[in-house]
Amino acid sequence: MSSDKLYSENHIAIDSTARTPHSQRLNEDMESRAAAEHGAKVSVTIDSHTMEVPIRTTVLDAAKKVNVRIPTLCFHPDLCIAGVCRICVVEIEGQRTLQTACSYPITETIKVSTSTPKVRRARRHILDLMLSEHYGECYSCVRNNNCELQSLAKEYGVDFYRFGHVQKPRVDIDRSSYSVMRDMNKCILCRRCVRTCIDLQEVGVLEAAHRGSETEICTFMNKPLSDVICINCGQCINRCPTGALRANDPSDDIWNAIDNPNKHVIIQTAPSPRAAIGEAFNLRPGTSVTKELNTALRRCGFDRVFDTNFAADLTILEEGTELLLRLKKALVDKDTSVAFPQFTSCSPGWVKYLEHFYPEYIPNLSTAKSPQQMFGAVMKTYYAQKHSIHPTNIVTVALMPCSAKKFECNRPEMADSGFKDIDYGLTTREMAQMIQEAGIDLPALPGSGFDEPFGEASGAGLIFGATGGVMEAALRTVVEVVTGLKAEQVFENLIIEPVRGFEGIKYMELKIPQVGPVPALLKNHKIQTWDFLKGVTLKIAVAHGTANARHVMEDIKAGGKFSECHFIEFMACPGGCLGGGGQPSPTSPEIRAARAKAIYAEDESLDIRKSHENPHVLQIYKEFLTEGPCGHKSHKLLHTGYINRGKAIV
Amino acid sequence: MLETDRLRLSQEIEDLAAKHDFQREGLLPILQAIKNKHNHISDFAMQEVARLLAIHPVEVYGVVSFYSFLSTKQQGHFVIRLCRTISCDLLDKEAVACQLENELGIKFGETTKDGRFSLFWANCLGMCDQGPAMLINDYVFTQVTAEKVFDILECCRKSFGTYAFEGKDNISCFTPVKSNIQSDKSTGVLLELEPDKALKKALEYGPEKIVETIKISGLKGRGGAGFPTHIKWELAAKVKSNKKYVVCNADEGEPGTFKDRVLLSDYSHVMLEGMTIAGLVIGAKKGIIYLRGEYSYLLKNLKKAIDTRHSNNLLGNNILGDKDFSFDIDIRLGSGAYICGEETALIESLEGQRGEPRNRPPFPVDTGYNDHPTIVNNVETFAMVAHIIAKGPSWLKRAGTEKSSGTKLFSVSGNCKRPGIYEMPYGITINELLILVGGEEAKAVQVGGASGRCVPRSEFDHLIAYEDIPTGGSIIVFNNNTDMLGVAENFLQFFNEESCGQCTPCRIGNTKLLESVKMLKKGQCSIRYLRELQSLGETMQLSSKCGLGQSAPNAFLSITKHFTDEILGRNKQILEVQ
Ligand SMILES: Cc1cc2nc3c(=O)[nH]c(=O)nc-3n(C[C@H](O)[C@H](O)[C@H](O)COP(=O)(O)O)c2cc1C
Ligand code: SF4
Ligand code: SF4
Ligand code: SF4
Ligand code: SF4
Ligand code: FES
Repeated sequence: MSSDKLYSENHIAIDSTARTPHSQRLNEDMESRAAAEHGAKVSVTIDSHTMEVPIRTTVLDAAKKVNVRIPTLCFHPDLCIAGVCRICVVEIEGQRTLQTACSYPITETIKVSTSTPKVRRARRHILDLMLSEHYGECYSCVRNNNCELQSLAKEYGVDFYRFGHVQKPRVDIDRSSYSVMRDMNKCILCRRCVRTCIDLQEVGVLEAAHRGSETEICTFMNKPLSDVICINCGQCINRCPTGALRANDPSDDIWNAIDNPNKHVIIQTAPSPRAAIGEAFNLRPGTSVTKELNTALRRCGFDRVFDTNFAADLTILEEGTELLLRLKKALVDKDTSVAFPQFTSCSPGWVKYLEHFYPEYIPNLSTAKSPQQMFGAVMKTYYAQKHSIHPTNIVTVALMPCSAKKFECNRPEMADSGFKDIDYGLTTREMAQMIQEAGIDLPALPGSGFDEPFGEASGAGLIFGATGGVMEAALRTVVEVVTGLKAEQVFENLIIEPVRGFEGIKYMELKIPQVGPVPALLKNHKIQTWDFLKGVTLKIAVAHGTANARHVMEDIKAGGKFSECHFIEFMACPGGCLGGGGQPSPTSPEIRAARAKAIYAEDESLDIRKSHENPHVLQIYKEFLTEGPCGHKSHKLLHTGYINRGKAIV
Repeated sequence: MLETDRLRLSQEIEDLAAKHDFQREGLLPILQAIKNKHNHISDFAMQEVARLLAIHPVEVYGVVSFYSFLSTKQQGHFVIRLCRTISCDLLDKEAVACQLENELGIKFGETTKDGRFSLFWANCLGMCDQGPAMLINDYVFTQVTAEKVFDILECCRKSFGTYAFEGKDNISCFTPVKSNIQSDKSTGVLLELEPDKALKKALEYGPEKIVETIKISGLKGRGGAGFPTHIKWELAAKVKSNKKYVVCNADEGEPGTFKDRVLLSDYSHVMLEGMTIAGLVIGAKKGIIYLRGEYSYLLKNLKKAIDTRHSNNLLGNNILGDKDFSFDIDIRLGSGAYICGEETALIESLEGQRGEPRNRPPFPVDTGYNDHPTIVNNVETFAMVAHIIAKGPSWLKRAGTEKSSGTKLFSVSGNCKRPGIYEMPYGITINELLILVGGEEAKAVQVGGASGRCVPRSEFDHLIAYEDIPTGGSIIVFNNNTDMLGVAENFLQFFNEESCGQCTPCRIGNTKLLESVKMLKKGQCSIRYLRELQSLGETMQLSSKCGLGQSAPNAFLSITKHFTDEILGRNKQILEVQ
């Protein structure tokens, strides 16, 4: 059967900078915008290079083309232009003042010099000014050696503080959040976090407040982060050029647990960190180090190293079954109270976003816990029993690309095992730090596999890391379970192209051509036949980054196209987990694309690529969750509820 | 807060938001209304505003904290703002300040326990020729003395509402604001002009001929930057767009400038006529006057002037019977932010944002208010246009120099016998001007306000003109008793408070310059460091994002250059004893 008969796709690009103040946008004047649309080119000379560039190219982009390096700080490829740090100034012939390369669109022939005495002096002054107000204590700073400010200081040969230097921190560090710590003593007011939080994520936690020398980045009324509506996505951390924003680091506690002989310390690793942690060891983005990491974790002293993908597979079975049950209720039982579309619930940033901004849609959220939490619940029950370890002696650590996972594991309801399901959420960055601290050179290590019994997982669980991955994994299973066809017959090489890629919102329709027998695993739900699904067109969508999610939600509210979907995957972070707020800095579209490539390549190299074919998953349903997916025990351990948080800040 | 209070406030905000179609442009007026009524903008109010305008609460907070007339903290019924800028400083505002603190029993920045009075500093209130000046709510008090303070406060105490002074212009402590025009009124923009003369002529001419006329006249912007007016208008006229805007920049905030105030109060119809002509030229249907919050007392008269023009068919639909020409003018109030005089910051402010200047290019003539082509001109520029159209292309050229045609309004204050408004031709030397104003004793003159240059006696033969020493009109005279470091400190304090804080060179640079002036005052600054800062000043001029940062170091640089004898080697001990 040819695949293109079965499904159609549709990608929607959203301009998520629409809410940005103009002062922070690269405005487009009408004349040159029109010229740009007609492919007009313009000649520009940058130092000794003369070239033709499309009209409206910025000086910065033009300079990159000829490998002329212009330093930047407030510029970020994911964000709109700010033009506030002024470090990128260049001299343009005939202009009285210096111009900022990042914000200057070339609309006529100009001659740019990037390293004149004026430029060098100005950059050095600007840098010196920043350093004069920056509480720089590099050796006690998370960003030591990976800090844009620090590198610039080195590049510009800063060897004394021309305009003095602050000796004492000015303000207290905000440690209130489970996920994000703010140390405004290190802030250089580049406003990348503001643009991230308002434009890219549309959460709107951070904004510049006051003015003049009093200007600072604030939350609403300068309240602690835990008191305002922050979804803990950590995207601001990834884009901060300095150590002003960082994740709340539990590694000291984890070391203590490791050093305690009575504790059985288990770590689960998610797919995205494995595709990115190499970056912290100077490997090229997109180098997957799964096997080396396993070795490193054992050397660090973890007692067991498991694969989160096992739980991802479990999630697919639970969440997929939930979807089928909802469909049955709606189509067979004609129960109008069933909420559609069903939303994925594995991104804790997204979940909190929905709880705050669209609480009326909580019934749409899948009740399935995220893989991280499912894993924890299984560890402290099934695994504990099986290995006769008392759950209080088990310490569960989750290596995640995500800062919101730190919040998630601390949600009070996440203790269905009778204990805290997951004790610590650890980010990729913090893990890299622990490995370095242990004196381990990750890239040089021999590889090794995961520990059994949760060591083998499917490629479906793996691709959870990329936007569209959950949907792809779910479809591989649902299609096979329902149609009785092999998923390979429907999707060539098991690749579901329409849900892949970084377009903000992806939409797909899939017609169910035939139905097969109901598998034994679902016998408890008393479904006799899939006939009710025959000929049904499944409509699904994928959105990543909460700005895109917001767009979909507004459309659903208005009764638009997305309200007719059956299943929608939402990820809080742009790019999905691989672009998570716990991943190594920096981040950019290219870096995220490289990580995605690594994940998809690994999927294709695996034998098992469908969740329901994971033998360990099948085993756990046989031995432990005997009523099958969405059964009583699953419900108790693997599903959860949500809180209507609302938008009020008190 | 009680639930019923909440509901009431919520309803009130909803009504306000509805007036502005729930659009973000309405943010500032909404916040102003809440502040005026409740003396602060509460957490709850900010969140309600955010909800209704579909923006984030933190964005509202960002805006509230930006403007000095808005406040999240509860302020008194009477908010007293005493001008601390240089001209009032020279007129001994310190004595008034001291007396205010004594009478109220609070310090600046505080509110009395009974919640009646709050005391703040203000930056230039535009009453420099009749200082010390003070604002109580919307009401301006000029020539305040320490002695008058008690009477003024008594007057407040005895009243119940906030409008203690309504209709009490004759109270003894009150000195009405004077226009104080010292030169004769027959030279230029101060001439009488019939309310429709220019407009009739303009309709006869049509856009192209109007631009041509302005071009021949050589008119350059009177707001300070001196950009040729006809080019700006022509550019805006050329862009195709269904909406265009004419904005009158009445945010006059440059220390020592008050000529726009006089034009707005005595010559408003000339300015309105100029705006209407601009609308005709660029094809705009809407004009907006951005009036600084400090001048809100002028609001009533301005509205009246607009109404009068409406009833005379000089504004509104089918102006003077021309069926293709409709133009209307709205007034928007600022909220205490000097930077909003910068044209792109002004537009941001109109859009309900923090007043942060934009990246340029592109320019407002192309992408201005709400992305539509917009021209921003100074009050005096618009008034000049009306005269030029009425009197023909060569009228302006009668006076002035080759490159700076016509006359200019000067706002003169400081140590001189006859402060006030002077209209003089461009090309007048500082010496000549000083003789006119009775400031022959001057040791230095600050031309162009805080962002201008401090000219020492040795350069008094220079011309005031675009080609020599340009100015938006502010002239502040310093005599021999003036401590030039004090002047520099005052200006730098001003910039530290009034910079938008967006970009590094201006935000931190100004802090460093201010620090060094304080060091100099204590005799603690090495010449090496001083030179470093002078070089920093040049960096600020070159690399700041907008005109504020680019001109903020001017005064510092000229003072440290010309008055080395006076500023170096100050004796620490003497200061300590003092
Ligand atoms: C910090 C700053 C403050 C300004 N304040 C004013 C002002 O109060 N009034 C004004 O007309 N122009 C002001 N300007 C100049 C305006 O940006 C703009 O150039 C002017 O309104 C253009 O009008 P014109 O061409 O008629 O002079 C200011 C500029 C800067 C940089
Ligand atoms: S933020 Fe960068 S420069 Fe500052 S202390 Fe940390 S590493 Fe050093
Ligand atoms: S973690 Fe996410 S929601 Fe919270 S401040 Fe950062 S970007 Fe905003
Ligand atoms: S916290 Fe970081 S990203 Fe935000 S403004 Fe400060 S330095 Fe920039
Ligand atoms: S120069 Fe000053 S006022 Fe202008 S944008 Fe920069 S910080 Fe703001
Ligand atoms: S990188 Fe261009 S101004 Fe900051």
